[in-house]
Amino acid sequence: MKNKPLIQRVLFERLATESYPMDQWLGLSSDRYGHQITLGGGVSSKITSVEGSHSAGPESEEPPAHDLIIQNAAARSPIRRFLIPIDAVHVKLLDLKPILNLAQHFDAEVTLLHCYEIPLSFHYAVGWSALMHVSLHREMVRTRLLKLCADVRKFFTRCRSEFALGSLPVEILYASRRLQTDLIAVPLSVDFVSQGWTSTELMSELVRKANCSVLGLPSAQSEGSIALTRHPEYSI
Amino acid sequence: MKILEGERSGDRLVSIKKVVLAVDLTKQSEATTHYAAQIANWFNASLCIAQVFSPARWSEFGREDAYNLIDRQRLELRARLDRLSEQAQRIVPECASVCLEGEPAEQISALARDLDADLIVITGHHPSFLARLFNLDKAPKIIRRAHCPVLVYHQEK
Repeated sequence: MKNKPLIQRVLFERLATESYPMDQWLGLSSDRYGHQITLGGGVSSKITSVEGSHSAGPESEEPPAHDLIIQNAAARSPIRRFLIPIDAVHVKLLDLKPILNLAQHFDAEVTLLHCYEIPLSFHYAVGWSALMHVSLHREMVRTRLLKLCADVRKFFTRCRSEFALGSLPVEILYASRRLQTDLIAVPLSVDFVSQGWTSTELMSELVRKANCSVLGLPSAQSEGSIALTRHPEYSI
Repeated sequence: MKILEGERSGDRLVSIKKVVLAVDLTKQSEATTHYAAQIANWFNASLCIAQVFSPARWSEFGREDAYNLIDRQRLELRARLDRLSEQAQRIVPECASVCLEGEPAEQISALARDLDADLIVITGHHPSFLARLFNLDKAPKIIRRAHCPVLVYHQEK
């Protein structure tokens, strides 16, 4: 023991004297967003040795580690990361409320994603000022997204925003892979006017191509009627 | 007035009490059942597993043998559905299964409406080019007709 470096000795003494919650016994810890972080090999080996000595005690009243692992898995939310594609120009906080409530119940973190595409009207702009106008418009949209995210954070703190450039479904799928989201949630009450997509069209595209689960939330007023009127070929 | 409606919808969505799971009894159904059961368990909701049997059109003009074949298919699917239901009951005690007949999208959305379900869970497939061309994928149809949120589950690779 004396041959070990000082930091390891101090850590071992702390582990031996203090009681730690189950996730730390399993070598897991979580950051401020709730992500699970596995501790390094040296620390894990120390934890294992302490766990062995702790569970071996005849007076130990804690359930066996295996049972605790199952309990811990059952207590974990099945969906922990939501990706919500939005049109930051047209969406309102009220439109996002059902999804955010759901995310809150799943104890999940939320990423609001806006994909910026240059509006068709800008295609007719000419000269040096055209570039400046496009740049200004992009910044305006980005500001709206940040403002919306700030409004959401007032009652749902685990929210952040992403601003992407490019085609809407492509960027959504790319972001969902990059962020390893468990769910892409699409509010069907709001169309993606700026990008030229209706929410139902986007939903169909995502259902076909996504690698994670996709959730479509209809608007409260429509009860399915909006989708049916927009797509008469599917009417009952 | 709009604000009140929006707030009411928010409250309604949060209280997920009934989950309808639509299965097609393919390979992915087991994973989807497990996933739906986990969600139902998380919300302390009840789970209803539904399977829609749509017999082939030619059977309408078939002889007695054809009817026997369809009956056999129906019984086989029922047995597989019961097995899935048993698996789900280990996670969600309040679990029921139902076998329907007809057009899947219509039947599932009607069932969800009848039960006043709060969530529909379905299995997502990555359809082939031909399936997309002839519009055979059921998930988008169910999403368009459903009155409640629809969760399309894709198994992680």
